[in-house]
Amino acid sequence: MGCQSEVTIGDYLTFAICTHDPDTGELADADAAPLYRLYEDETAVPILTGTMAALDPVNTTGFYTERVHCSLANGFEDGKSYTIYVEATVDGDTGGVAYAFVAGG
Amino acid sequence: MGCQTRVTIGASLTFSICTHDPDTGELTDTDFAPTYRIYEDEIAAPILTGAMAKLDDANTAGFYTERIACSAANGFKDGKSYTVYIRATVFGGTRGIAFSFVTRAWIIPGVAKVTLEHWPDIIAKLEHETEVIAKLEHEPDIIVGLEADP
Repeated sequence: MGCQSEVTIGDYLTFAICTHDPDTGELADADAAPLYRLYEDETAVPILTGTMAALDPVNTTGFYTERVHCSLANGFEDGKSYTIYVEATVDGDTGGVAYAFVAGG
Repeated sequence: MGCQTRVTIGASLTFSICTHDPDTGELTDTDFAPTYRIYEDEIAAPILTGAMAKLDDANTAGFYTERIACSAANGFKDGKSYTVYIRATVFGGTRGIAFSFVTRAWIIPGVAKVTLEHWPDIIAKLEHETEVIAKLEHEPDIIVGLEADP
């Protein structure tokens, strides 16, 4: 899926989603920029939140990415696991996906 | 998806799912806590089972996670593959997903087989990797019998 499984502390990680019309299954742009929340282990307070942006929208449909800096300054720690919750709305229907990765030294 | 593909023995692993209304596709909480079963290779008896919990419920919908300790005490072994089977029910409709990951010990490129007698060689190879050395110094059992990273 659209997220690597491991990242080195200090590196960047890019995750991606494809959004679809829930009625037809067709690739479709989201009503608004998809939201993401990034959690460490099972700590309920996210260390990062934000929105994703369309990438190459002239040649793609419903394709959104986000690049995050997995740095100590951003709260990432060696050996911890991270979960990204992504929420996107198409034609008024909100769907979601979760990704996971681990940070290493 | 919501699970890393590799884990070090002794570390924790967190897996996650998003659940949806099967009729509308909307993110929706489940009727009850999703259950999971973790299998080693293709052995039919799971080594771990349990239920997942909501995370950050106030700001999410249908978002469940579970954190497990991939320890020897929990039955995890180096070099084995593991499959997580998850079942969740929304408005009476039950759906599932499977994740897989592999366990590993510490990987040290260039060292064909690591045993305790190789410890001085390892230190020499990692002369400038002070953080790695600090970690390994406290976990000598982990590196016994380790094969090299191909």
